[in-house]
Amino acid sequence: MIAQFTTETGLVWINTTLATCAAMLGWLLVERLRDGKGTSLGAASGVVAGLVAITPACGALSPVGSMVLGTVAGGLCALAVGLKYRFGYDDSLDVVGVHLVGGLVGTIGIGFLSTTTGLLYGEGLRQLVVQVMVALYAMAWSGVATLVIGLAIKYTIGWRIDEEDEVEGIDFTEHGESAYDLTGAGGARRTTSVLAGSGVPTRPPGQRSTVEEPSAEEPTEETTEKQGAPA
Amino acid sequence: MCGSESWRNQLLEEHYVDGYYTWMLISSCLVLIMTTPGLALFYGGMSRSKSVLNMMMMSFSALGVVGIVYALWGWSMTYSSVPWAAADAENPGWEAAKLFASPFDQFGLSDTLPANYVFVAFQLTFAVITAALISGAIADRVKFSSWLVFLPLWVTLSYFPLAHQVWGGGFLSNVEGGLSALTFGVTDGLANIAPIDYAGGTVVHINAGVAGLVLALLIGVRRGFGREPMKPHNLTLTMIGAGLLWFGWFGFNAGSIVFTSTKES
Repeated sequence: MIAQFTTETGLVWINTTLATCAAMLGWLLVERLRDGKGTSLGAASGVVAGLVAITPACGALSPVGSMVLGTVAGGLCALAVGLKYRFGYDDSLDVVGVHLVGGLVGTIGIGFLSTTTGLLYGEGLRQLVVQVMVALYAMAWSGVATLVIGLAIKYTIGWRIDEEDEVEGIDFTEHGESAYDLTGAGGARRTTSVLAGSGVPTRPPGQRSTVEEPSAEEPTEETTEKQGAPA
Repeated sequence: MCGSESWRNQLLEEHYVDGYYTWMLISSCLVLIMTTPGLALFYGGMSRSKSVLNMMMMSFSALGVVGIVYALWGWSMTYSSVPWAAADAENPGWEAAKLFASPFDQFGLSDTLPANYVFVAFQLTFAVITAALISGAIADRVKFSSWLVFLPLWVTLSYFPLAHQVWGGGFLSNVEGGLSALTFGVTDGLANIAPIDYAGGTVVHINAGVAGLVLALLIGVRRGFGREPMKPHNLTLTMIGAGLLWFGWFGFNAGSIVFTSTKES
């Protein structure tokens, strides 16, 4: 038992790190080839993509196998995050592109790269078939459960905030706060309530708050490149 | 998972228990830091300056809601039918068709063996981050109250059953009558090909990813999506968050070790 603990935890640590390193580089490489620049957002997203992919596989792969898995995950996820623009679903911060795609790469990748049962190690197709079945089953379960709950909420209490509130900013309309007080008018001392005097209840509909949001809405050419938007 | 409590009994008798339980407590803390503040910063930096607090609040509120729900019925729904985690190893709680275990057997951690508290802690943090991950797909446009209603429902219907099926001896594990056993047969009561999910590729990431996709389709796009740029407002926060996620992930992965044998020394 102690032998398993000492060897396996070390392998898991190494595999987790190597896959993540490789995925970061894989993502940056795709960006460099496609857009001409490797971005910090790409590096951060690549890190998460690698961590996601190695999660199911970290005990079954060799260190080199983990590098391969990470590279594939980083590259595929970098391509996958652009799909939301093509198909028009607003996966705002790339949960689908990173976690679903990365999770599938890792879960199914075990079927190829497992050192004891993987296809690439000459152990046949059976592990791969099992991993694909398990992944599909999990997708179906999650899809149905989420759809039921999502529809129930949609037709009872509703999901969306008002359109005006969305334009104004959800921080202020849902929480009565703003992250960055750039005007300095609010001060830091709280007397009775943070909401007192902030105008939340009496604000006329549609009127924007006085908090400035420099450049958040200004389109620039660079911005369409981020996160792999099609040119 | 381990078939019986034998390995743990042996563990308790050995000196290694100190190191192992210490590592499990540290791992639980590491996974906690992934959600708050790791994921909150990662997502917060990517959102626009007018919605960063709401984004971070979705992660923090996932910790608040799911943490409590996990202790009330999450642990019980996941593990109460497994002999080593059952209140009475001879008479474990009921399990429904290998899909989920009884939510009532160890409700509120009643009858949970004190030696298992550290595993409750570790698994609790997994449920929290899985739910929090979904928030990235529905940024900037969802009522905070609706999110708070969604959280307990989703972990109950999607996360706890899948966690039971994969790690609690259910349909996606290597048990007789499970998916793999039905496909490729069994030897000595275990599937010939054990499905491999070390730390949550299906339960955590595919689960959260599909939920994000379904909700994004159901809820619709942000105003101006595809027409105006939705620039990340502070990528330094995102980089800090990614670093914290990486750091915490060592607890997530290396803490997920399951002893397969008591024979080794």
